[in-house]
Parts: sequence; structure tokens; C-alpha cells
Amino acid sequence: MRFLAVSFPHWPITAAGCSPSVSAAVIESGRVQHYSPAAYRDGVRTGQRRREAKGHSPELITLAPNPHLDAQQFEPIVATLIQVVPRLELTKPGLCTLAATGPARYYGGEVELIDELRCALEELGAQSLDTKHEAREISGARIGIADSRFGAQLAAEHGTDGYLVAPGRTREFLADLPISTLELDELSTIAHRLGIETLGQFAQLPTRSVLTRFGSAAATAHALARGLDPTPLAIHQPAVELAVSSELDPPAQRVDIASFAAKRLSAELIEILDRHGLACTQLRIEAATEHGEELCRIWRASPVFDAETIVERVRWQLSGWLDSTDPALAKPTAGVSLLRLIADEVAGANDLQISLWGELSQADRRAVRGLDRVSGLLGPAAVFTALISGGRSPADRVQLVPWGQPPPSIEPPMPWPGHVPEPMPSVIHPDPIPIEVHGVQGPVRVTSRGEISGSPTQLRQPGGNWAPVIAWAGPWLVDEHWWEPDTAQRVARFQLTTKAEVAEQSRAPVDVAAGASHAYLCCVQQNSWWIEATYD
Amino acid sequence: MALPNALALSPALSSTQHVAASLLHVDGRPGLQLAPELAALIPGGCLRPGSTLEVGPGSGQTSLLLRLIAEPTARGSWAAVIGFDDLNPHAAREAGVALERLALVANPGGTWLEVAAALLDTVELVVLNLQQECRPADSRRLLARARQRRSILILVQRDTRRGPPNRPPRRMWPEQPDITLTPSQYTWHGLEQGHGRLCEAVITVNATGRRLNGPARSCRLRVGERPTPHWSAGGDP
Repeated sequence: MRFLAVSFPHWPITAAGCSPSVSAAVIESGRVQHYSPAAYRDGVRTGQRRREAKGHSPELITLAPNPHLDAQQFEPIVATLIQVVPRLELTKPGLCTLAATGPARYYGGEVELIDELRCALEELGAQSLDTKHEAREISGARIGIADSRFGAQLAAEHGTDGYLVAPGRTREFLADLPISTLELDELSTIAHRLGIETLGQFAQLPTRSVLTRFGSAAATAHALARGLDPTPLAIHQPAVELAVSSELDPPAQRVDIASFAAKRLSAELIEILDRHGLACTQLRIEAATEHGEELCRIWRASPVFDAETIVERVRWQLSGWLDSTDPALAKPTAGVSLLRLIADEVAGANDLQISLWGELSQADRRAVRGLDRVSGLLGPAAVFTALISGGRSPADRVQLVPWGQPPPSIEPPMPWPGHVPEPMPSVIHPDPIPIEVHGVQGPVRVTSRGEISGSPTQLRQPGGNWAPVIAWAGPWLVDEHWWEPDTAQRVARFQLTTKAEVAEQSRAPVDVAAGASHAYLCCVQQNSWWIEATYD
Repeated sequence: MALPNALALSPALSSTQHVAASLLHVDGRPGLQLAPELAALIPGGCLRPGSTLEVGPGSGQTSLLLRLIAEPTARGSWAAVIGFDDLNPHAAREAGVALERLALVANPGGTWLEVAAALLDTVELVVLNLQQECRPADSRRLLARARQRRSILILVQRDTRRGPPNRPPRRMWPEQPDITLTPSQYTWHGLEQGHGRLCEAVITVNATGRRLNGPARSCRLRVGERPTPHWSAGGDP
């Protein structure tokens, strides 16, 4: 088998509209993920911190990751290529592969096939010459052919453009490349310590030893390094049709609505596959609108699809279609009414473990399935996971992420001067509880300079009785967002501990040593007090 | 993945056989390990799959609950918390909960029963804060589900005293749980008159229940860190 890869290196940069001669980088969680050729020349590398990258290249334009835009910009290119070669497999925006043997025979040779693809891309470039950056983008395409998908991808990215690796020589071609091209960090680290630097050295290790020492993910990587395409060996055409479909009623006009429907569908598909002991390596996603417009794309995963990656692919595919800004591309005239997922190519689940490093356990997969079901039952904003972010008030320091959505990239929490000290209150009241706080001479007031009129001695909640204050500290003044009139707030915080409420009728002497005490985080603003959080 | 264990047979077993089977740990799956302080309270030191626990009302209840689910989530189990719209996940992380395995269903509304049943199917630890009274038939269904799927149900009986004082709070859950943990005493250290800050809480936890196999036990749970001498400046020589 021969494979062809069309690769757009630095796709996220070009999709964002930056020219290759401009120094730019995509930064996620404070680390460089992608860089432009100009940034590379200046010394910017993957994994560098923002500041370090800026040090290498002071002119660096930093971009936030935007997979939505990447997919959207890539769709016209896919639509063009698919007219030349129908069975195009997408791996991610910026990279697609195809089995080249058939098309090469049709066009009369591999060189001719590459020419044909290049012509189609140039035509697309000419069509959209008025939008300058796209013309450049298309000229940035690199094409390579080799005996495996991995080999073809690297031939496209590392060889000269239109690079053909001769049949049977893929392993030789790969031998000199560094082991980090496999993109398995842990494996690279261990291999480096063992003195293995290149793919050629890694490929020389005995297959069985790699499997027993490093596990299945590394065994797959080993096959890649030997110039083999690891999946076809285990592939069989599914005997039963492994497909699920769903009618969307009302039709989905937006990508997020459609991808929510896809969430349930993908869970269904995974369950069917699980029942047959199979895992999906190639997936066909078909979408149709009410007016009969259809979009079908084939996606490949490495190594296998799970429910989450399927939803991600649906999102990519639809965002290129529904939100298309390109006038040349047929934008659907109605919402998506039918969504169909078809497992095109499957392999035994045991042949393809999810991954060795950081893999999902059985319990994880079970829990994920259950939570998917619950979020399908209640709607997208009902199940949450939590992340810790920066902020001063306890509520600011927590970010809730709806289940199934990719977590936002949050900068690692820095020291926040003026934040409420640890330990954190365990209960944050969604609606603050208004209270009255009295000292010996009536209500306690806080002046704008942060002075209090007297020590708090008792506290009363609405409808409750006075509870004596045991200890208190404050005021801690917070003056936030003073530069934005809408969100500006100036409050003073107190910590208070109280005894249990004293019932009006039984004025029993307060026993300070025993009994439950409550601890509150209170806020005061313009002489009105409320409980923000409780240390429960 | 359906193992031919006692679970598959369970509908055919009579209830007495079922109890006997669950006592014997037929599937060989060990319980979920607890934090050392809490392990001392419970026979075997771990949460038995298929059992129910209740966390009783009182100050310190939330901290107790978080400490209860901390060790299992840190060891790879998942926990789902249903019906808390005011839980602070940051406090959960401080208690040792692995947030990546904690799911929050804040307002299940009228579908709480379906949600709880679906989660008992797949998640090992389900924490349920009942907003309304549960019908006995529903509670028995949930218990059967938990026993069958070997998951653990933790019920939270919150303090709902809003009416006349000194009346016991209304019970939302009609069944008797296997073990009840109640915070009885709750004291904070580190805060003084006008200075200091809340540093450390000591919660006395009482355990009662029919699965305790003995008299009630109690332990002391510490939250936060010990106040440094600098903060407890009140103690003059």
C-alpha cells in the first residue's frame, strides 16, 4: 500500500491569517504549541514559556488556540481536494491522508497525482486571490508519498515539497528523524536515557521487547518507526453495519446544538462497538440539511476514536460547513436535520489499547458514559466539573466547566495578593444571605477608610435569633475593577465565628466551651452586611 | 465486561441470601479506602460496595463529606455530587478530592431520581442531597440499584431547621442507612477578637448505625492547618 499526505505545517498560524514571514505563535496554558517559520528562525520552539519565546523573538505575535477557526478555514481546501480524490481521510485541520495506490493508477502515476492535487489547490488559490492570506496558505501545502501514513506525513513535512519515498524505503527515510517526532513524551524521555535518539535506532529494537517493556502504545509507535502502517493489519470490514443516526428536530442551526446531539450519538456508537469488542479507527460523519444538502467526511484517529474525539470531529466538520465565510463554498441553506456516524474501519478493541500513558481505566470509561447520559437527560448546562483559577473571592477562584466541553485553558493559579486566606469555605451561597451585625453600641459600620465603629458582638440572620460572636477579624478591604464602572466593587470582608443561636424564650447562659460554632465569611458594603460563604 | 459474578444472579436470590452475599464480598472487590481518621470509625476501615451512608446535619457537615470522598477519588474512583448548588470545589480540593473525577449535578430538579439511578449505574460514589422527601418505593429502588451495581450511596441530611427551634429536622430519606456519620462538635482555631484568621477546625464525628457491629464510635477530624504562633497572638505570656 502507498499513502499520500497533504500537510499544512503551522496550520493554526495560517488559519489565524498570519503570513509565514511574520513571527507568530499559538500559546496554550502559557506554553508555545505552534509557531510560524519566522518564529522558528528566531529560536521559538514548542513547549517554551511565553516569556522565553518573547525573549527569542521580541516581535512575536501571540495567538490563542482556536480549533473552531482552524476547522472552518480548512473546509474549502478539503472540498477542493475531495473533487480530485474521493476517499480523503482527515486527521486534523491541516493534515489529511489517503490511500494513494488507486488514485495514482487512475491519474497515471504518483507524480501525476501530486500534480493533479497541486493544480486543484492552485486553482483554489487563484479563485480567492482577493483575500490575500488564503493564497499564501494554499501555497504552503506540502505533499508527500510513502509506504505508511506516518511516513507520508513526515515526507510531506520534512522532505522537499512533493517528496516521494521510493517503495520499500520508508524505514530508511524515517531512520534519521529524531524520536520526538512520534509525539510520545514519556517514550522520548526514556528512549533518550537509553541512548536512543532516532527512529532508526528505535526501529532496531526487537518488537517483542518493546511491547513487553513499554506496552501497546509504544509497540504501535515501533511499527510506525519501521515504516509500517500499524492499523491495516488488524482491520476487518465490519460484518454488521456499525452506524447510528439521529434526526434533529428542530434542525440544528448552530454547531454547538448539533454537537450536543452528536454527544448522545457517539456514546451510542461506542456502546455498539464495545458490545462487539471493537474499536473504531476510521469514521465517516454524514450530515444532511432539510433542503437535502449533504456533507460527508472521513476522519482517521490515532489510535482509536472515543466518544469525546468523535464529538470533536463532528464539531470540526460542521463548523467548516455551517459557519463558512467563504462565498465560493456552498453554505447550507437550512439547519442540520440528520446526523449519521458510521464506523468505516474497525479493529479488535484489545489490539488497540486507548493508550499506555495516561490511559482511561475501566472505571473512568464507565463513569464518563454515565455522566454523558445524565447530561443528555438534563441538557448541556447541568453537569459540571470544576477547575481552580485565580481570583480574590472564593467564588472567583472556581470555574465550573460544563460536562463534555473542552476545559478552557487557564493560566496556572498565581499568587493572588488580597485573596481570602486558606482554608477555603466549603459552602458558597449562590444568593448571599443578608444579616445584621451589632456591636455594643448598635449596628457595626465600616468607614470608607476601613475603620470599624465597634467590635461585632452579635449576628442575626433573617428570621433567626441573635447569635453571639465568639471571634472576628477584619475588615479586609477589596477594591476590584475600579477601572470598569459596571463591575467595580468595593467591599470589606470579615471572618466571624458565632455560637449557635440563642432562643428568645430560654435565655440560658452561653457556654463558650461547648456546642457547635459557625464560621462565616461576611461582606459589608455601604453598611449592609451579608454572608458570602460558610466554613461548614 | 459482564463478569459471571453474584451480581448477575442477584434478582434470583432471596433478600436474606442477598444480604449474606453482600457481606461476604462475593466479587472480591475490596471496599473504597478512607482517610485514616475516618477509617477508624468504620469496621474494616473502608466503604463497602453497595452500602449506604448518611452524613447527618450539623456544622462541619460539608467538610466531613468532602473528607469522606477525598481518599476514594484520589485513588481513582469517581464521585458524583447531586443537589448541591453551593458546594465550593476549591474546598473539596483542599480536602484532597481529585477534581478531575468529581462531577457536580447542582440542580437536578424533578429528575433527581433518574439522575441518581443513572449515576449509581456507573459512578462508584454518589452523594445525594435530597431537596424533597423521597417515597419509600423510590428509596428501595435506589438501594437495590446501588447493591446490584456495587456503588455507594451517600445521603446528606442537611440542617433544615427553619421552623420552631428544638424540633428534629425533617427526614428526607425513609430508610435506615448502614452507617450514619454526624458532626457533633465543631471548633475553629486561629481567629481572635479583631485579629488572626480561621486556620484550623476540629470536628468531632460520631458514627452510629446497624453495620457498625458494636457501640457508637467517634473521632476528631482536622481541617486546615494548625495556627502558627504568629497568628495566635492572643496567648500572651
